[in-house]
Amino acid sequence: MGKVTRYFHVEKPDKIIGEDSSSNPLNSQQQPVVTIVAKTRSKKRWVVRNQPERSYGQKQQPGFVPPPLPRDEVLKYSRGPGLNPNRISEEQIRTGIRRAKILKRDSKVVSGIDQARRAEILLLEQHGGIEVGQGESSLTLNQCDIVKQVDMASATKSFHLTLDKFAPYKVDYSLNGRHLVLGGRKGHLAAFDWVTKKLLCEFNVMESVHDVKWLHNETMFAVAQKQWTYVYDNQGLEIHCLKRMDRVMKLEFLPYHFLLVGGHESGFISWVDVSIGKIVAQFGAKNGPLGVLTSNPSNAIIHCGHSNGTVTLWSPNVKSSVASILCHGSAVSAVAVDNSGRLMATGAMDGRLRIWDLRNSFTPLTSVSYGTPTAISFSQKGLLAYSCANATRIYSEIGQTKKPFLRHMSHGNVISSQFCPFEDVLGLGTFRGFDSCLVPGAGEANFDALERNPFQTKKQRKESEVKALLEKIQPELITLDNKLLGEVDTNTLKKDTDSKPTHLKKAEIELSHRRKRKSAKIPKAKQSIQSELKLRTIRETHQRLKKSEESKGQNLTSDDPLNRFVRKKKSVVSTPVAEDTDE
Amino acid sequence: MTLELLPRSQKQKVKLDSDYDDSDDGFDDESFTVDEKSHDTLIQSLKSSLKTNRKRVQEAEGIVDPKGNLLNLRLSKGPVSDAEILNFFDDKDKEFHKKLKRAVKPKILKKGEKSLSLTTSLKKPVIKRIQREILYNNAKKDVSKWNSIVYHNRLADQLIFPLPEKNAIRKDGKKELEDNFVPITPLEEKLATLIHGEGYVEKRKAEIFGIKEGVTEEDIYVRTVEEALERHHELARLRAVQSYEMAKAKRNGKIKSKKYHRLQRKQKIRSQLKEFEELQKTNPEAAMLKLEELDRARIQERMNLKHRNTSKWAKTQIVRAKYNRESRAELSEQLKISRDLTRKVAESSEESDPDDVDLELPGLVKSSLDNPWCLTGSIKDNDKVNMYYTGYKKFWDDVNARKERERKRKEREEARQEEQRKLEEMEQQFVLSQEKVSDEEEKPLPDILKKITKKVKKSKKKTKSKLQTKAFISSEDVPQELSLEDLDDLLTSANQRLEEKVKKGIKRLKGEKKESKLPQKSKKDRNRKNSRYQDGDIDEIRDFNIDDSEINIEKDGNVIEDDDIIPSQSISASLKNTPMRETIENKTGTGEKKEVEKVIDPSHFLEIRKSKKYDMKESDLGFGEENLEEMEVEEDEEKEVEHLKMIAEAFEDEDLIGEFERKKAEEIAGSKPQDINLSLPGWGEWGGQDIKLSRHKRRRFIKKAPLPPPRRDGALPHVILNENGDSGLRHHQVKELPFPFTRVSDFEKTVRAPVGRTWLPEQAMKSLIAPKVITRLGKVIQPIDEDILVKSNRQKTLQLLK
Repeated sequence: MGKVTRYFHVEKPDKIIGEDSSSNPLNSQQQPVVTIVAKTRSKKRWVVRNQPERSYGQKQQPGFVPPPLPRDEVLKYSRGPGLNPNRISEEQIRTGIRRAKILKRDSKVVSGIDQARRAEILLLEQHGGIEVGQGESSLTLNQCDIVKQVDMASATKSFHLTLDKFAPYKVDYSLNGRHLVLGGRKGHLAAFDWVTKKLLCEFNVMESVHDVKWLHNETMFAVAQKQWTYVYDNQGLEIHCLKRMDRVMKLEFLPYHFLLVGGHESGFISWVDVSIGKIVAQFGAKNGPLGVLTSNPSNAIIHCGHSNGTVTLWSPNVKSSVASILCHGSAVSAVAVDNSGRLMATGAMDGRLRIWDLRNSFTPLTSVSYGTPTAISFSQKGLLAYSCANATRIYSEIGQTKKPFLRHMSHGNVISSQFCPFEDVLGLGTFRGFDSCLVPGAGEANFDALERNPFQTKKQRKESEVKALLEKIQPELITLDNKLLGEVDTNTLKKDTDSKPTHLKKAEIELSHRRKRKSAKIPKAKQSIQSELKLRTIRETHQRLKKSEESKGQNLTSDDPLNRFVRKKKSVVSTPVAEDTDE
Repeated sequence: MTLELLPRSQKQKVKLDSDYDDSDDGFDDESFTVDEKSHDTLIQSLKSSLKTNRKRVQEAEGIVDPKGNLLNLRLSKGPVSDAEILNFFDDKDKEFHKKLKRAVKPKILKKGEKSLSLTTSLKKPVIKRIQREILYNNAKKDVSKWNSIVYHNRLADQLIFPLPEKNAIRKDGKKELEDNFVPITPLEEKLATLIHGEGYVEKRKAEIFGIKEGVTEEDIYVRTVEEALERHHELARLRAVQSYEMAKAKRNGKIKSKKYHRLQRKQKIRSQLKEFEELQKTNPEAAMLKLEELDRARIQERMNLKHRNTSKWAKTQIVRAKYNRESRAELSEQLKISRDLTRKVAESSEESDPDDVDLELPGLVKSSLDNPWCLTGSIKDNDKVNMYYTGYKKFWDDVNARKERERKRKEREEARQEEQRKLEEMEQQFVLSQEKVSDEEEKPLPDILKKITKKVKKSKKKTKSKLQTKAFISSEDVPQELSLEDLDDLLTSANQRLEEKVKKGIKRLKGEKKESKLPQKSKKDRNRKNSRYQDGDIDEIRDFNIDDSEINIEKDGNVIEDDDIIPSQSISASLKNTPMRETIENKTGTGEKKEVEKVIDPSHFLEIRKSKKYDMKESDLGFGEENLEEMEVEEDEEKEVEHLKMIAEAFEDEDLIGEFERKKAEEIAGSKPQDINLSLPGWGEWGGQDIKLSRHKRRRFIKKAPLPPPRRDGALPHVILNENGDSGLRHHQVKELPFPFTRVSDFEKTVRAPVGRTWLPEQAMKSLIAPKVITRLGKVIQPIDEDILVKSNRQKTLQLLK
């Protein structure tokens, strides 16, 4: 296959700034102060001493044992610790042969993880990137500078389409990053292979277009129009009209579940299974129109931003929101979730962008403010594009830094943005048309051709479609914590064992899970304070109760007839307590 | 019990035997010296006893072995025959004899001891039990020898049945087969004699089978089973290889590709020619024969109309040739071949090599006279061989020349392509340089270039896209100070240079092409452009400003940027002094308990402070004051921004945080299990509205609900988590712990990794899903053989004993 994202393989020497710029106007064009080079990621290959390097496909020598890999390198493929053969006893896994079998299988899993790491040798493509010299900033670079440095094929990927008649435009790249669909608010739809600029179809629906979305491959795309949602094929033929998805403002597609998700103007969210054409679920979010909506690629949960500053999380299996997070003090204007499902970026009308840790604590990590974000998007490699008005700032490692590393100014205000998969390209839909700009290091350089193939043939496409349908994940399996499926339902297990009659022998089972349940905890310092406070309040209430009782006792005089009903106190014990309280 | 009984029973048995012995000589001997006589007598006595008491022996089915244990020799076969036992005792091993005697001899016979009465024999059921036990133990031992194999087979990743044989068929190479080939059938023998000459067959047979002269046919026949088996294997191998070859030949025969056959044919001719040349050196006679053969082939080819363009293929090519250059070339090639073939050989002989002239073959000279080909034209020398040879050579020379020509043509084409590519490159450079020079040329120049390149390439494809694509330009490179005049000069000079460059390139490539004209740019246009890049400049400056501010922020750290997020420590530290806490207390009014719960207040880190409120920089929004004039912000864009601002303002005052807190409280209250009130109103006390239940009744009749499990969002004031969010997933979870496991965590660990191509490399996946057992269809699986066991020393000795 051809190369995907190697834009920068020519290293150019640093140039001195400001030399002769005044004398000769032509020289002043020599602007580049920054070198853009390929990030040569050093690939550590294990080398065996006194042994010729094996070529691919050669058989291993019989006694050959590859040296162990460093732990941290294998860790990213790891699925958590397995069974420890030294610690597993007869009581834990019964009968010797079964234990031996289970341990053997576990060792295979471990070796598979090891192999996965070693197979990284086959990932030949390197990621792009920008390297900045000392005292220079990559922020000074604009598209022209980048285009000058990159190779010709990549340079063609930076372009601008002036489409001001039907603007603003919503954009969507197909899943393999090869095709692009543009939807102008005033009804203009255009689908094309953006690399070759070959047009698939272009037409006007004579109705306002609110959002566009490719379905599982480039043969179909969904369009949220004024009244209903339509599905067109790549020739522009109307295939379906989804009348139950009416007045949709935002569309999302979950490729592994074949679910088309729409956020309605009426505040409803609906999930439509496009493989069978059925509505899977439709709930009211009860929080106003749903114009801000995105999906979490790791667990297929839908994140909706609302005008009350909250972001609610939705799954098609629960009628109410799975979680709602108060993110901002004003209306949420944009939401994005990164590929790994760890980070969420939210932008609000107060002009802030916040990054949230989604794993379990839902705490904010960073906050940046440049203006109200109108579009936020994460790239495959975790870059964040944050557009407000006509400025788009791109951050790398947004969790750690607050400074963007690239900036792009479009001609019009940006309303939608998306990073192109497997390319170092950011697509921006604006009020003036469409901008395609180069962002080195945005895309994944090595693609899995069986998963998403930018160069797939028609036959491959058909085959992958069938495979994807066979491997479709049912919507019932969507949960916030998608590791739950690998766990035993201990609640039911416990209930079952408890409900057994007492005369039956109960199996002794240890119910603790493999994964520790990590609930967000208050830091220790705070905990101590809390416990102190608790103690104090307990003491205080205790005192109060004591006092009231005493006062009750004092109210009754000795000759009161009701005195006999008063409980006798053990005076010996009570007195020191009273003393204590006085102190 | 058994251990105790065992020696006794032995004694008993032997005693029983001895009881029937009439002559007590052997047993009375106190000195234990073993001489031949006594030994013989003992054997005799035993023999006689065996004869008389065969039934008893059969019953016992056990025999004493040297170590004094009972040994069951014949578990399966039934009664023990006399001969066997005799063989057992006929052993001349004296030590064994001694031992036997010692064992047999009762204690009472020892020196100085008084004789005692004999013990009574055991009862029958006891004896039987003992025997059963012994049999069981023996059987157990017999079966347990398989234990290790069974264990390993159960643990094995994969078992392939039938188990691999010792003499498996191995696939030999063709070469090896040829070496070992022996003609057997009459046809093969005949062929072999034809190829290799007389006597080859015998020699070969003698070589392979080691048959010496004078050895009869019958001797050749293999005698032993092993030899027969070996022979069988050999034949099987032979057949296998034969079938491979046949299949290969069949495959080759089925190939329809003309190109392939053509190549094949050419290769054949070449090899023949080479052979011929070699033969010429080594064996001139054979060479002559070969030559004749070749000649015949040539004649055949000449006589048929193969290359005359009369075939069906050629006719279709002729039709195509009108439009297709390739088919034209191919047709002409065919014609050329035919011309070459039919050309009179005499002409070509002129060019024959001088070395060949010397070759004289008198037998052929005469015949040259009656060859009509030779009569016409001048022949240097009448050597026919030479003539033929040169004819062939000529043919091949022609072929080679044609190839050469083709190669050259290709080279030429490549060169042309190279030039074209260079042109393209130049264009690209031109575009870049154009950008470098100035941004002004952006529009017209590339258009012109496009036109030119289209002409040059004659590209048929046109972009059908209606989308207007424009080169993306940012014009920040030119300094501000330039005056208009300067710029004009600059532009015109640049234009000229560019023009020249382009022209040169085009001229070089296509001289006949008309020179393109670059239209002059209108001044208006330029002015417009100028205004544009002022605007760009402003952009640049503004951007730098932002940079500065950003850098400041970086330096200052969290103080400015992070004002909305108070770090956790600071929260705890300033716990007492926060005014927010008080306000909340006031609002909720629940007293001290509330105070404890509200240790972390969402309003602390989500608070938007009015004092340090973010002042939106105009520049940040993308249009500064100067910018607004230049940028022609469209109306709807403005509207959009206005709209956003309006919304922001509208929500500024709203107490979103308070609302959220209320919502959360509701959620918590809703999820709490409710107490059950079983009291009957008015029962035992006054009834009516607003009457509180007495404490007694409350305690007695209200069933308190169990405390709910701690909420997951307990420590997260800004989050509401749905506690039943994953209740639907319960159906898909595993509800029982499968057998060998006693811990949930262990089971979860074993299912932690998915199996599939998506998650694992191919090899790892395959090893995980490999089938446990592989069987071949139609193959008989024999039960496992004892040969597979590793024999212990004991077993070996036993075998020897047998």
